[in-house]
Amino acid sequence: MRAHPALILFAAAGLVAAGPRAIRPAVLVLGAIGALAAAAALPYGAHWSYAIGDLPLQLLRVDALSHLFGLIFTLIATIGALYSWHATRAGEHAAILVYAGGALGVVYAGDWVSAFVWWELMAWASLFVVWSGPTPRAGAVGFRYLFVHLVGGALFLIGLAAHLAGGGSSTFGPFAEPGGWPYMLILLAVAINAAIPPFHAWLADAYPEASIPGTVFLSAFTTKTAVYVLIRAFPGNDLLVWAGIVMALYGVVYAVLENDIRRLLAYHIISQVGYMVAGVGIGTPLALGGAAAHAFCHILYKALLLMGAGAVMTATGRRTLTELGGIGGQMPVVVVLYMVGAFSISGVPLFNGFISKSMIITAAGDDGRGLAELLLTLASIGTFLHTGLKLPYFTFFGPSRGVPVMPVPRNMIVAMGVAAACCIGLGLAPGWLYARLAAPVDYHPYTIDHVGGSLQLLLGTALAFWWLLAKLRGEATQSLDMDWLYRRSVPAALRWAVATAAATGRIAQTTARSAVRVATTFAANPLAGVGPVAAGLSDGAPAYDENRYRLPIGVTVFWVVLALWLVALMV
Amino acid sequence: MSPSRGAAGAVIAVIAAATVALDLVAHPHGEAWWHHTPGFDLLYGFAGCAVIVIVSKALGKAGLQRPEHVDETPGDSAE
Repeated sequence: MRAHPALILFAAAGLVAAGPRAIRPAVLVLGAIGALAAAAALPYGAHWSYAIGDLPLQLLRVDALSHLFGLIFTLIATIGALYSWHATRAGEHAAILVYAGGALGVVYAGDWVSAFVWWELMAWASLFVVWSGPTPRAGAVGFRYLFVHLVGGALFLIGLAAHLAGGGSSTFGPFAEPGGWPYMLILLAVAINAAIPPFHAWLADAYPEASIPGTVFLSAFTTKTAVYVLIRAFPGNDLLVWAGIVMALYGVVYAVLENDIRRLLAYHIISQVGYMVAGVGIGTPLALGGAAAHAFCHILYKALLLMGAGAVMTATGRRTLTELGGIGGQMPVVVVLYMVGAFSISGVPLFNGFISKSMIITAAGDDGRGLAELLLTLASIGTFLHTGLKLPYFTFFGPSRGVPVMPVPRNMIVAMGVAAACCIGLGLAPGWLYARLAAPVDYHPYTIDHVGGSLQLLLGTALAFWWLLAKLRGEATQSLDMDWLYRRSVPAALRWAVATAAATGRIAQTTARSAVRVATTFAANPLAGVGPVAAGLSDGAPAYDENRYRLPIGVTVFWVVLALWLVALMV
Repeated sequence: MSPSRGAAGAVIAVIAAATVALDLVAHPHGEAWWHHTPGFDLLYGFAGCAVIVIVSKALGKAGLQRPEHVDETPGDSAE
């Protein structure tokens, strides 16, 4: 059977939005499971091909890469649906399902035009997920999110139109001649969605303001769909190596400064996506496989971490490190499950981050990019520092602030348990994932030097954390990021535009009024314009008397005859 | 230093020593000199972590960190 998984999610979205409240959680979960089953059952090959005029469209292309991303997107939709069971909301969860469907649409699209349409659907649906956030900031944040994604969508569309008009292939894949301006525009649009600095600030701005389940879904789809497009269409672009390294380190620096637990984790999405972007840039089979594998693993552990942060928020109603502390004893299961995510993202052996992140770092070394290898390892140190040490220490283990802890709904724990089991399962049996990569890789993560090196790195980091513990305490601050530029400049530009329009209007009005005043005066008395001297008078303009000042009729006749004579001469 | 921190420190030190010993028997995968230097990853982890914290905090003090909610745009509070 060939059912596009997105269509199953759309049907579920319709039922969630319009159906009775009682069936909503079941529809959400069953819809996601149905999509997962459909994704797993899709046979490889090109299906659902159509044409509009000369434009070939292909809605369902299944190969190793799209199969892998389809599996993880539907799996995380299922886990997220379980996590949402106790708190499903019609509008928000319908938007979430459409959002997930849009991401799947991009993954399975075989042509650029279809990919773009799904891409935009994903952006708009995710906007409603952001707007469904409970905080007072969600509205304004959503508008900033919209602004950024509208710019990205416009760049994509212009680049795509130019690419097709220039005779470029409509097949969604690598460009025949990379480097032209249509190529660069599409790359820029994808860079915005991948949150490559300086186009990244929308992510840390918006994700922490969505609802608790909303953030879990947001963390999975937008950036990883962008990674998918990068792997599909831009492999081996050298720019991406350095963009990825900057991303990986940028997120780490901001995570040191961050106090809000979900914003801290959001900065680590940027950091982790940096590895994937760098992997795409390196472009060797190991690096590209690493990028896809890391996207797969990252979706699982990042969702687990955000679900853990969401469980803390649900239990305490608090979201900053300065308000939390010492609650681990009251929620031991959440602590254990969170730590599985933390060990996974940190690359601890036996957890899934270890088997995927190391592919990219090893590929950098194998490709003779020693500096890239060292810098990506440095970012990995930062990841363990924040996600594995700082956040859990100051949330669960540090000095208690006497925060009352409410019980966490059981479905949240079950969802976290499923994600944690996947993280450990992949860590223990990486062969399952490696066998599903687009190109076969001969990579063995569990060698003595690799495991030993990783343990050393983690221990060294833990020792420095211990040493610098006092410096790492959360501070009740906000961090200025690139969004400050448009949060200041766009309103300033709008204010300037309004003020300039108003001033132009005022000048035009004054000028017009003066012109009317002069014209009226002159029309009422032409002598006023000539002036008193020309009129041979010394006491100002005389009153206009048409019988006195009108020219004799003979003069007019003279000019008419002269004009006719000149015309006759010319003819 | 509390006894628990002392004990944890001792455990970490023992594991660290064991992993450095592993470096002496392992066959390094990479070509670069840091793959062949026993204990490099331990030092890199420690120094890298310290550099990340110190540099980030310095950047925070240099202007990246502001008191909470000062950079809200007028629209934020109106929502």
